[in-house]
Amino acid sequence: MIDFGAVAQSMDLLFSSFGPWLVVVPGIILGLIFGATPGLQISMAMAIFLPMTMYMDFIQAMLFLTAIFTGGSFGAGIPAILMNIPGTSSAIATAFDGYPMARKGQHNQALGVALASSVIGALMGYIILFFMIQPLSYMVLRLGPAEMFVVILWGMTLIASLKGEQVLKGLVAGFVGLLVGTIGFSEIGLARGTMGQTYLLDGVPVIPAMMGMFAASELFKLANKGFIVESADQRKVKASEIFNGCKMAIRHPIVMVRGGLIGVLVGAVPGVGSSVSNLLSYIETKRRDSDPDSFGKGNPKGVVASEAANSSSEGGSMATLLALGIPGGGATAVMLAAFAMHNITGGPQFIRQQTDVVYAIIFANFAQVFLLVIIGLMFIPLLANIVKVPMRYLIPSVLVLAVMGSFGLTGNMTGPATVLVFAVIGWILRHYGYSVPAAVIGMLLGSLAEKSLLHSYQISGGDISYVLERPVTLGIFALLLISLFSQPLMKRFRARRVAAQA
Amino acid sequence: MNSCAKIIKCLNSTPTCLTDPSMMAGHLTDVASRELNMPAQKRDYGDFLVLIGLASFTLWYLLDAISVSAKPQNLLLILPLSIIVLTIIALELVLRLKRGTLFRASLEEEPLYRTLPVVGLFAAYVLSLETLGFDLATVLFVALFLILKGERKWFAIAGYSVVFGLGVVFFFSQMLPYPMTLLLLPN
Repeated sequence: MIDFGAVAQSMDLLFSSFGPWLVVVPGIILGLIFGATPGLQISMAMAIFLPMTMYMDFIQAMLFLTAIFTGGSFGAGIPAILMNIPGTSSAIATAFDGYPMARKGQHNQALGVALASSVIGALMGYIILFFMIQPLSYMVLRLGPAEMFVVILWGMTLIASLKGEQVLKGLVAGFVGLLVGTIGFSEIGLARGTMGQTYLLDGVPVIPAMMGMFAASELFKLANKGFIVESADQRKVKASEIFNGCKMAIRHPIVMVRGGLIGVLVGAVPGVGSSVSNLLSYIETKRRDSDPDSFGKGNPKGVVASEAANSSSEGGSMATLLALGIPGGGATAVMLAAFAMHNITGGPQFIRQQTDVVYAIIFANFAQVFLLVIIGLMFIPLLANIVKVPMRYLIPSVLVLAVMGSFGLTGNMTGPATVLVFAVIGWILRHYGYSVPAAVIGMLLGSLAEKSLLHSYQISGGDISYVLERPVTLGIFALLLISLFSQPLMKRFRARRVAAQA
Repeated sequence: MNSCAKIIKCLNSTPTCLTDPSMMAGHLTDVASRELNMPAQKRDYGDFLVLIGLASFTLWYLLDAISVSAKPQNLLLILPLSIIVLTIIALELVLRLKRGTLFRASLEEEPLYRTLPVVGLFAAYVLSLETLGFDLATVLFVALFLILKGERKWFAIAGYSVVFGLGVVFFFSQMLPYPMTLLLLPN
């Protein structure tokens, strides 16, 4: 289950020099700032600062990005508690009880509860990942190219079908993204869709495109807001009371463990992640509690449930990324791009051949959560005031950073031009209800999907009955169909039942 | 205030207010009337054009791929995926025609044109980087953005755009190994 030789090597990788740790503190701070700023997303921070990782080695790059991830999931809870405005969708359930606690004057305790739950949740996620990653890699190794292709399609379908009413638009965005991902030279050396432009021969520059779609297009939407929050209550933050809140969280171990497990499981499913896990954990905790009516009125268990789940989702989503090489959402999509920048392909081969690197990432995250306690405590007063920054200063500053970062990636105007083109595309798609994450993940996975399909074709000699001999492929395909059609079928069934009752 | 704005306001105050049946019923009636009366009241061709644009791209890409090579190895993914995309778009258009909502408005509250000046300014910034120089273009972009979004204190506009713009460009020009066009800063 655990490769102890690789454990020793990973320790060597992490502690032989101070290099990998230099980026952790700035990463956590960036994550906290972007997480705590409503409107800005964690994936946006990762996309904007991704070009910087080009000058880091792989472990350093991963530590930097996971530090942003870890910081962001706690940061999002701060405005949720203080102002009832979740920094990101992963902290929606935090506001349900966090804000009523703040209104009762217990905002410091609520922040402490959130901090302790985030730290323990993230730790749980990575501990489970540590024990599961080897068995997972053995399981995943049995997947051939046909299974990988269906897994990609299933992941895309899940991500695309999240937006309830807009399933068809989500699917169109994801599948067109897959097509865009195949632009340029194919496996067999044919160039498609390049319009005669040499810079498209290697495909659309994915990272600048991602910066445009995730960051710039979202910032355009925020441009007409004066302040992040128009009228924010002033609340004084006290470290001693935050400590009391931390103790308060530890008094609910069952809620914490349940939240952590829900977070890991939900986080591992592509497209779902922390945005759903915090709500599920909250609902489950409320349902099982002896006094469900106290929820929504300032019950600390609600904050524990939400924060433990959204933080442990990180470990779950990392499992999918490392084992399958498939990102579950925006943040892991950026990490996959970082893999590509360092010429590393995620998946079972990577886990088996570079187990020490995988363990190093996991151990560094253990340390990161403890650093989060210290940095979180130091920065809460500053983060509580971040909502007072006028949008008109924030937006051009982040846009400039995106343009400069993209120039740094490509070394010419291709980067900024790609940011511009995809910012406009993302802005229009977002406005008309298309799933931007589905489009981006499609772009990232397009060439992998084509490669998997081509290898299956070569192995089978073009005989379609080959698929019938592969039960796993058929099983995953069945799951794909269920996730695609279960929602509309259930809706129709419910409508019929209501009609029959009437 | 329309129902969407009411719900957003309510979410900002207390999320439990969504359980108020009168508010949700009001919102649903609003949405329903918007959907049903759309052709006569608010026509928005944007959504329709986006669908057509995506279909056109898909068709063009498929034809381009076929013109390069019609071998199955080349079209293995592109052909079936393009057919699926085109079928979904056709299905969406047929469904909308049936519902009479072919040119329905986006559910977003803010019209697209309100953001257009910001998008235009960003486009001008990116396109002028090489001609004006990264430093001058960045300073001008930040300053014009501040003016566009209502900043009227000239010392704040000048101070922030010069300090931030030149600071960032200087940092990147020193860090990156590539030549960067500069007008104000030393190369």
